[in-house]
Amino acid sequence: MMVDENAREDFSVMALKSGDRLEFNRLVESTSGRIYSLALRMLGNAQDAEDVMQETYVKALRSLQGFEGRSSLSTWLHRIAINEALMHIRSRKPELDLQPEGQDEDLQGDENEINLVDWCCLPEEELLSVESKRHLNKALSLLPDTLRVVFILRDIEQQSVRETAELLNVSQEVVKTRLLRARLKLREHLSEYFAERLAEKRRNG
Amino acid sequence: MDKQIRCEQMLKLISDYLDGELDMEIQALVLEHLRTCNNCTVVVNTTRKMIELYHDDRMVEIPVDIQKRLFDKLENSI
Repeated sequence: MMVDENAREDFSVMALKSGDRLEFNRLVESTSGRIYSLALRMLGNAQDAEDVMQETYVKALRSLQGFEGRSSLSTWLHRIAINEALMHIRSRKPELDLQPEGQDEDLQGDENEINLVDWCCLPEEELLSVESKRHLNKALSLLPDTLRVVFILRDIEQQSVRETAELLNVSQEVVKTRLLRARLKLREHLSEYFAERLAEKRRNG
Repeated sequence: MDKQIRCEQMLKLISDYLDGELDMEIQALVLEHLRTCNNCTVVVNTTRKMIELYHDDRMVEIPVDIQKRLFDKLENSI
């Protein structure tokens, strides 16, 4: 599970539990960037992300008394945010939790288009440029909800297969299949983009 | 049992391979395949790199007005 470097337990749980709002504000300042980013990626639009983030901290504030310290504060907050975001998505798309039927979850169609350009050698400043980041977000937003959510939970939030399956009410096998499909689709998208960058670079010497 | 993996099979094993979740026997077959198959090696490496990029990019600056509204909301909530 993810550890937020910014929130590495330099907060006083005792102060937080006793209702110290300055301490809570410090926690919010330190963690809200990541919580907002998580919500934005899960939901795909700024208004929903803001609602989910607000609800996350309101809920955290109300349930701090029950925080038992079994995980880090940051892990606890992320779990609340994930649940809020899932509730939000389910309210508009209840099919998120459905187990697959028929060919829905197999790899049909994914194998036909495989980009084989090795773009790993691109310099970091190219891989992490503002434009590249925009492209990363675009590719993620184009995935169907069922695949996007699994990728975010597993590869960005680093939830285990079991935790992801529990959060989504699907089997661990379904999590694995969706993760594979999401990864291959994202890789395809990014390979197309980075292959162009690589070709550009070679053209320009 | 067929002791060699074909590229189509490799594609289905990539996720479990990257997550270290393959049985030892299958893992050995995958490594053997990767030793000789440049295409699959590229797919594995770019998939791994893609995951790293998303993971490293998980922090965004929260817009000032959105953070202000968050604090306003919290101020009024208890």
